[in-house]
Amino acid sequence: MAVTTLFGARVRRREDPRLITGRATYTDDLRLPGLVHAVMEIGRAHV
Amino acid sequence: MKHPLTVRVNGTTYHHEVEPRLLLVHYLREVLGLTGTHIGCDTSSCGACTVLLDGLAVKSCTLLALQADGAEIVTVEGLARDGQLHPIQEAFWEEHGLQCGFCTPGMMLTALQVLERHPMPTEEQIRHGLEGNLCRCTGYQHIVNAVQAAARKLQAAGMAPIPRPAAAGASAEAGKGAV
Repeated sequence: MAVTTLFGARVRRREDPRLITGRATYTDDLRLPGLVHAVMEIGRAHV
Repeated sequence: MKHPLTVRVNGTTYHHEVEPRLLLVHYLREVLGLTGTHIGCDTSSCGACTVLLDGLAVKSCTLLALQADGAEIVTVEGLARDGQLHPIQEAFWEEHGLQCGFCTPGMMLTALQVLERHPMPTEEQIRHGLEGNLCRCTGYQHIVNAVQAAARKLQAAGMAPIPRPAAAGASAEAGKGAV
């Protein structure tokens, strides 16, 4: 498909099916073997 | 000490022994593995954990699992049927009613309550009905558009907004207990 046909066209996002059906994996959904608690550490935010 | 709990979630009846302090959202996520129901604030402010309990939108982080004993629950996982998206899901997808998607399950389930009360809601009715659901991506206008699109889809299909699970044999036993 030529790129130009996308201008003005309704495009559905490819990532949405899993987000609208509850199948997406967010950080809180991660389960690792033996995991009790997890903390996310970020060195620094964008500068 | 654990207590017996019987609930019907997305049409399946479950029996478990649970601690009285277990929250409904933790029961759904940790015990049943239904992680589509999210925990956003843990204080019933954000609505990310919203599920339908006997047809009412409730914040599952503020309900004990045992309070749902005997109830019929619908979570985001129960919206699509046989690989067919529910009109509210199609509408959110087509109208760009989501960005990160974290608020979306709660937003869609609350929207179904709005549509149950107002089959063809005004923008004001939608915004009022979704007051308890926050979107950090701030995509509210597209969410309103999506709910209106869902209303049109439901009307065209002659569908009730809230899915009623097919009456399986297990329905009678799930009827016991009180909230």
